[in-house]
Amino acid sequence: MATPQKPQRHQCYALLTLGVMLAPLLAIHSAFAVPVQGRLQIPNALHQQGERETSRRPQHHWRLPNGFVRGRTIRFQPERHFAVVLIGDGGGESDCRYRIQGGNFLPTTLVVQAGSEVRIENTDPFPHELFADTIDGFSALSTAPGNARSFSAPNEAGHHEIRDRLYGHVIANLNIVENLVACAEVRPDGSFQFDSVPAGNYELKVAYGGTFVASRKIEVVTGQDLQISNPIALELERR
Amino acid sequence: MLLTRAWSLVLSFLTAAGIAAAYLACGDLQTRSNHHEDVLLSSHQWQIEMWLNKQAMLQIGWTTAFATDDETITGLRRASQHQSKQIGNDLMRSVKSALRRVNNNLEPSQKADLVLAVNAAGTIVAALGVDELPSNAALDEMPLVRKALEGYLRDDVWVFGEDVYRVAARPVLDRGQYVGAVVHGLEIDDNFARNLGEKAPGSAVGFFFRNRMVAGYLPPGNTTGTRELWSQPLEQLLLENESLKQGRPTVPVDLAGGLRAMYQLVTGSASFAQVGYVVVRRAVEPIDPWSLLLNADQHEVMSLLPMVIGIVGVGFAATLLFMFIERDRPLSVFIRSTKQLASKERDRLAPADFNAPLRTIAIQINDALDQAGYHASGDPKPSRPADINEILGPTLDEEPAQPYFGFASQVVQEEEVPKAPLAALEDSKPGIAFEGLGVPAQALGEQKDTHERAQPQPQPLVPATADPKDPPSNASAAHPHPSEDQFPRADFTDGDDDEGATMIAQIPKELIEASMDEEELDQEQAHFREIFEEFVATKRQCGENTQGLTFERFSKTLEKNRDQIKSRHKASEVRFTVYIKEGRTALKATPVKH
Repeated sequence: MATPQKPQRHQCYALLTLGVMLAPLLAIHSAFAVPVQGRLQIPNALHQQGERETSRRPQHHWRLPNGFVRGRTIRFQPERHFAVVLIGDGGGESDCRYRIQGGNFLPTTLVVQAGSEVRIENTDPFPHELFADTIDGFSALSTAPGNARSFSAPNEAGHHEIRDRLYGHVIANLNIVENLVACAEVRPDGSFQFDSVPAGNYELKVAYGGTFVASRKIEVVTGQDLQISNPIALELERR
Repeated sequence: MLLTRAWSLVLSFLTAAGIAAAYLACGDLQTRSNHHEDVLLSSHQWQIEMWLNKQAMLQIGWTTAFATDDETITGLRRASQHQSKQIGNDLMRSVKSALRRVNNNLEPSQKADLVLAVNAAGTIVAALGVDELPSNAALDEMPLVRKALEGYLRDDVWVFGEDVYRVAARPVLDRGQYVGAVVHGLEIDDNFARNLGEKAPGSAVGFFFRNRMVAGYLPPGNTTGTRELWSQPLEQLLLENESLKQGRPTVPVDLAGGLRAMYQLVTGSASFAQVGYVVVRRAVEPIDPWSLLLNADQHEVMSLLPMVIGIVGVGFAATLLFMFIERDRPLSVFIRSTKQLASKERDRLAPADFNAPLRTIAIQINDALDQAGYHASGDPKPSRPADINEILGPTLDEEPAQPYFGFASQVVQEEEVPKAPLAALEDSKPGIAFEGLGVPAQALGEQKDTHERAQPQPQPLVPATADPKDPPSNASAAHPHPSEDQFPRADFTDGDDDEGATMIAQIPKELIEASMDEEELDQEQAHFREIFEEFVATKRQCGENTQGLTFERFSKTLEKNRDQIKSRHKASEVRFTVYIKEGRTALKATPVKH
């Protein structure tokens, strides 16, 4: 029986040397990356969304007002529905984070690099069984709380729908793009921020559902934070 | 035995009709029972749906205890003030303690298996029934919680982990402000299924999650199979059944083990996860007349017993009656005659007194007696003139006042035949041999007369040794004829039915005539003419009407009877003589063998 060989000492030295050489380069690169901030102009229509029927069966026997206080409308959550990304030369590697939280995707609009490995965390206290009919190998598997579901994004740009076999309301729109550079964190007020963007020319895109509803060319200059002055208007189709 | 046989046929027909009717009735009953069971099954499915609806409302009411608990309200208000911040552990423990306390104070049937308290942002503050909560776990996107946070009371069905819960939620209000919501969950387990199943007596209720059963209730008696049986068609139904896809219950589905079931997805978001319920009933057992009889109510059986006994009694009595009429009574007559024969009160049997089988026996007995007598005396085989009554059986015409001429049956079809009285053939010419004397009438001709029949009457025995010069005193009783305008008819029936009727095989006239030369024909015509004249004269002498009596018709009748007698007795010639019988003119025929 063959005994696994231990790494040779000189190999360890070689890796250490490589790391020492690359570290300054990465530090320099980070030093020149700057945050990019902006704001989305959310149409009022999006604040009034009804409950989505997910099957032919009624979703409840009863839905009654509480009888004491008038009902309220939960505000529209841009952070849950919009994805703001940068696309440009040299893209392909991104730090975008996708998860399920509060009983649904966060965000429900996903923009991923074509061919990349996508990882979706389950932060809910119950399992989900995500699947996508149009993506090979992405069949329904149970993802326990705290675990993540990974799959390979298709190589071609396009749109796919990810669903949960347990909860009909859980739907994510997966948008496959080339040259994805970064994903912004969208806040409840509609503002967003890319934490660290290297200098260069990019196209900022806003995705909502399966479509991109806004796009803007931006130039990031080394050492200068970029604050996009005007809110980004969204070209929403009548949904 | 016509009546008996006809009665047997009627009984057979009635039996067959009864059996057929029983099977038809069973088939109809089966169809109706199946339909009734399906209606009942559908009704129970509907009842289950209604009870789920009602219990959902009750469960919404049970959430009130949590939503109105001060400690819970306070905890949620405080938690809502931290909307995007980490909720402190102390606060979470406090709310959880409050939830546990409230839950423990509920009625046993109202106790929740799952309780969740969320702040106004939907973040879970405390939970009962959940082993471990991830930090900052939230439910704000769950439709039930979202609607509760918007101020509504709502119910739903959740798949939560491996289990299925029926859940209800309501908002928690604090001084007019929404501070969160509470969720009350009941696990859909056997206890849950039993509470529902008891509302549908005789039906089993089960809950399925995809193709496995997660809960079930079997009614007492356990006639509704097992959960494994219920789940067998689930995979295919969930994949293909259009009713389920459209949100409707399936039609009753046959399961193994003689079960019928209806499947339906639950009302709630878990229907998307293929959570549903099934109502199962035992299908109607195949119904057949025997099982129907065995399973019949004893009181109903007893109430029908008199009618059954009555029908059997009537049927049996009718059978006995017919057997008495057609078997026992003739047999009794025969036995009495044989006793008289044995006691020498008579020296021959009268075959005409008996029906077909007995008549044959009587003829054979007579023949045997004749042969025994002649053997004893050393004489050759006896021959005597044929007694037309003995051969043909007694005859009776429609009007007993007229004499009867009974040579052969064919005459009855001849409308043109002349009227003539019946003549009993007697041993009028000693020394003339006649081999067919003792031949049974049945054997004389196999053809049955299908023509008009006359009612026979028993005739007195005609002794073989009767004096030919006094034929009326010993001959068979002549049967009156209805009218002299009508030619007498011969009847070969035995009096009860036409079973024993005999007839003389008819030989084609052309064949017979061809065998006769012209001289013989002339002689015969002369004989017929002589007989006719003597016949007319005798009739006039007896004061009988001779109007319409012509030689042509008379001779035609004689020819036909001649032919038959010749054929029957293989005689070469038949001689007719006229005599007076009981004051009426009669004819007798004597076969002659050269």
